[in-house]
Amino acid sequence: MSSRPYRWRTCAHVFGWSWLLVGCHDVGPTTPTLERSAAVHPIRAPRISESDLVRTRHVRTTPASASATRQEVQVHDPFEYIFDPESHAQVTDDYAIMTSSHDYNTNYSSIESTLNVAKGDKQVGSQTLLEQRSIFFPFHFGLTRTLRLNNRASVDRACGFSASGRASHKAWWGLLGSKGLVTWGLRVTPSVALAARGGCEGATGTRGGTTREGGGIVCTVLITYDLDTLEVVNVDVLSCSSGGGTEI
Amino acid sequence: MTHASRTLRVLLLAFAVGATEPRAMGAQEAQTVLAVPDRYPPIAADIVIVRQPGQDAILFRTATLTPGALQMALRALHEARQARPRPSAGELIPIVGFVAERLPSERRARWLSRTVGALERAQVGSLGSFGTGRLIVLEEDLGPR
Repeated sequence: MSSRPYRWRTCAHVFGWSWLLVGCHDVGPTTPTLERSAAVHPIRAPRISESDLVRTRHVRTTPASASATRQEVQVHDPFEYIFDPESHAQVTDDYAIMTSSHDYNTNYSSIESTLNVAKGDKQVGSQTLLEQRSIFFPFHFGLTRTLRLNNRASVDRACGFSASGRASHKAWWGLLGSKGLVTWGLRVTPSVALAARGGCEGATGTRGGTTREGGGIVCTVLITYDLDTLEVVNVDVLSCSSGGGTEI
Repeated sequence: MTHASRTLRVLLLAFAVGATEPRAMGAQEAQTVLAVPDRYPPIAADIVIVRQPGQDAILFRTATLTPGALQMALRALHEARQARPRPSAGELIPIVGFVAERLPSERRARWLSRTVGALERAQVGSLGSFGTGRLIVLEEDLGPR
C-alpha cells in the first residue's frame, strides 16, 4: 500500500515522457511557416549604408613617436613625397590578408585598401579599410616615414580561397587643426595586389573532418549596435566560413 | 531497487533536466522571421540578418530570394547563434557573398522551396525600421536536416 502513490507518480512520469517523445518524434517536414505577423516584434535597427562598412582609422602621431619610424637616408626626387607604394596578398589558414605600404615625407598620409576574397572564380566578399596618419608639424626636413596597412578577412581554412585587391596611397601637406580646410600638394598613387591562392596541402574536406550536406562558403560582416539608441557600436572584420563544424 | 534509490534516481533525473533546460531554452528562445522588406538597407549585401532579443530576422531582396540563398542565410544564422547565443547588443549581419558547393538533402531542398514559396505568398506586415513587407515566422526553427 505504501508504494501505491509512488506507482501513480511513476505512471504519470511515463505518461508525461511518452507525450514528450510523441512531441519530439520526427513526423517529417511540417508546414514550413506560420503566418502570424502580429506575433513579430518590431524590428529596430540602425540605417546603414555602404560607407558604414568601411572601417576608418585616423591616427595622430606626435613628433616623439614619429622619430621612432624609419629614418634611413634615401635619395628621392625632391619634388616627390610619396615613394614605393606596393600591395601584396596572401591567404593563411586563418586570414586572407592584403598588406599595403608606402613611404612619405609629408605630414598627412593615408592608404585606402580594398581586399577581395574569392572562392574559385567567384568573389564572395570584399572589405575596404582606410587608415590616415598625421603629424602636427607640416615641415620636418625630409624625414621619411612608412605607412603600412593590413587588411584582413577571417577565413576558416586556406584551401580554396584566394585574395587580391587594390589600394590608393595618398600623401599631402596640411595644417592640423584646420579640419582639412588648409591642405596642399596632394599626390595619389595606386597599387594592385595580385591574386594569391591559399594552399591545399594536407587539406581533406571541411575543417572538423566531416562532410556535411548543403554546404558552401558564406561571408558575413558583423555590425553591433546599441538596442536603445540604435547607434552602431562596432563593425567587425569580414568573415568567411565554409561550414566546418556546423550541422545545417 | 529500494524506494529510496528510486526516489534518488528520479531526483537526479529531474536535476539533470533542470540543469540542461535553461541552456537549451536560451538557444531556442529567439524566433526566426523571414521577410522581404520594401525598405532594404542600401548596401551591396543581398541578405541581412538582424538579431535582437527574442527574435532573429532574415531580410531578403525580392530578386535574390531563392532556396539556395535561404539555405546559406539559415546556416549563417545558425553559426551566429552558436558563436553568440544571447547577444547583449543588437546585431546586423549582412551576408556579402556566398557560394553553394554541396546540395542539401531532398527533404531539406523541398522544405526550402516550400518556405520560399510561402514567403512569396505571405501577407504584408510591419517590419519596423525596414518599413513594411512580406513576412513569415518559421515554425520549424531552422528547418529539417
